[in-house]
Amino acid sequence: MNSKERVMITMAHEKADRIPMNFRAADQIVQRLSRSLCTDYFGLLHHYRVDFREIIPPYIGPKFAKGKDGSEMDMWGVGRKEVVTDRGRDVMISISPLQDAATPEDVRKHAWPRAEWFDFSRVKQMALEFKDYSVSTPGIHIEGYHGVFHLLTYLFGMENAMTELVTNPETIKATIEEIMKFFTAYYTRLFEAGGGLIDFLFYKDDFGGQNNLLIGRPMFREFFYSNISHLCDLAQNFGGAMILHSCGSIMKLIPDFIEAGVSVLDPIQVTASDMDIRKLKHEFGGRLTFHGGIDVQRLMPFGSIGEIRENARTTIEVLGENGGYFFSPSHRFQPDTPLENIDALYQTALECGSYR
Amino acid sequence: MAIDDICRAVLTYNKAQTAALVQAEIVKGTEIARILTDGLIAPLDEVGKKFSSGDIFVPEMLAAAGAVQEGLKYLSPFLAQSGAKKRGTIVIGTVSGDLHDIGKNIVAMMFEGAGFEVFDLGINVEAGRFVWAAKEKEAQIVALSALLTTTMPSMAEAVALVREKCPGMKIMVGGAPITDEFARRIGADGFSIDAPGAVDMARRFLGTVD
Repeated sequence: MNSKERVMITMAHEKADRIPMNFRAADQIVQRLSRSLCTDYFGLLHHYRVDFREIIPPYIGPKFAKGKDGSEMDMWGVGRKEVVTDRGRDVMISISPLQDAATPEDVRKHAWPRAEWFDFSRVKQMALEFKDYSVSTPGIHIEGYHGVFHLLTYLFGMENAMTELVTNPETIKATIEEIMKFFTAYYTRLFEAGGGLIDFLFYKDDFGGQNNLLIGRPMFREFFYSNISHLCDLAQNFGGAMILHSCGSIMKLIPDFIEAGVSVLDPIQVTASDMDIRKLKHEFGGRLTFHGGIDVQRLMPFGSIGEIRENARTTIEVLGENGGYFFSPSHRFQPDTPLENIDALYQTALECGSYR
Repeated sequence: MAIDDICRAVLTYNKAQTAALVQAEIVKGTEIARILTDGLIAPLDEVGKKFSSGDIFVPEMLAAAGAVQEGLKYLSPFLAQSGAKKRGTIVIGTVSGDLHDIGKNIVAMMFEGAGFEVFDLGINVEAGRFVWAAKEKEAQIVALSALLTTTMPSMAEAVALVREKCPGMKIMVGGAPITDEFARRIGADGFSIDAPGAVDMARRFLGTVD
């Protein structure tokens, strides 16, 4: 059984030979793990029996000028600055181009990205190289590729976007329309180029915080539901399915996700309120496949090997019952995660994840 | 009645109206402290309660806090002259190594909306700067935020340094990975799970529970 078959059987809520596995980690962890295993990134994925691969069409659009303050710009016109601190490096948003946008006209005048800025000509070849794996659009492993809500917070600035959702809905809706024009064109061309070999549209947007939803359900329905539903339809038209990533406490939105057509829910942030895996499996396990569930906030950086083994076992037992579960950390392993913890996690998953 | 109108403007997230109504009350000669307490702090407290109980969410709380801030802009110059009792001074920031500030900003806005004087040191704040600012601004409370597990040790260091250099200072901590147990372990005086809780805690620390 190859990875693609394993993933598809599991998503049909049947038992494959074992639980499908995924991996994601901060660059520093990838580098340290690769070094310790004397291999490269793909060697690392192979070592941990990772069943997922992503296809990343190269960017060939206009070069980005540096921001006035030295910021690195992206195709949305958002600027970022890398800041080196005494705890490592991190990146912060330094330029939000729609910070002062007050009307839909202001938004339409912005220089929006175009699908033509990506080279899709090698997609088929990349998909063929990964033909035995479950293949997704970019974002399942690499940073970036955020959804509409994320982009709003980058484009307007976090507090500003949140406030404008309440006080200036027309301007926000005009922005969403422009973002969706790009997404629709980009994903259509990507799936077309993939010729039926792309299995998942990985869509990353966070609607939950540690304790509750970031936005209420009425606001989700008004601004975001239809985008997700539209992209689910798009993927399905090409024989694919959507993996929706939303961190945080999102129990109350899951019925809406299912209604919109989401097939797989990522990352199951178990440290957030109300994200109990038993409850999730019981209430939604028949209609959803889960991806994630292994805590990176406390367990992976601070837990003992024993706790990690126990947790992996329980998670697989609960979420993996009768298929419907892809094993994965609930976020990238952070740089403070001991490598032996990661090793113990995957070792246990391979031991316990067998259905045979 | 007119004070009620300010409340309504805040509760419907109307920034321009809040500002206009506050100005009108000042012109009318309404007691400044009353405009602050009944017109701005009271509705924001109501918003805070609705947030904590899960009836409203971050966007609504930010929009209400934004309206209150707009009102405060016009009220603040008169507050100093009015002889209204100061509610206390709080130094706030995200600890060294951490660049995340949405949570910290929301807490700072809610502190301001509750009538506290707030000095926001921003992100990636060295422990020593908390000490410097606390002394310089004669603060009673230092509030520390961290989002990353990797920066939790910075929080512990900052708490230790403030504790050593500023005896009697109240220290509160918050952020996604922070727990009550962690707060106690590093010697903070308190942890709050959300912004309205932080406001309540500050009031308790300063004995200004209305």
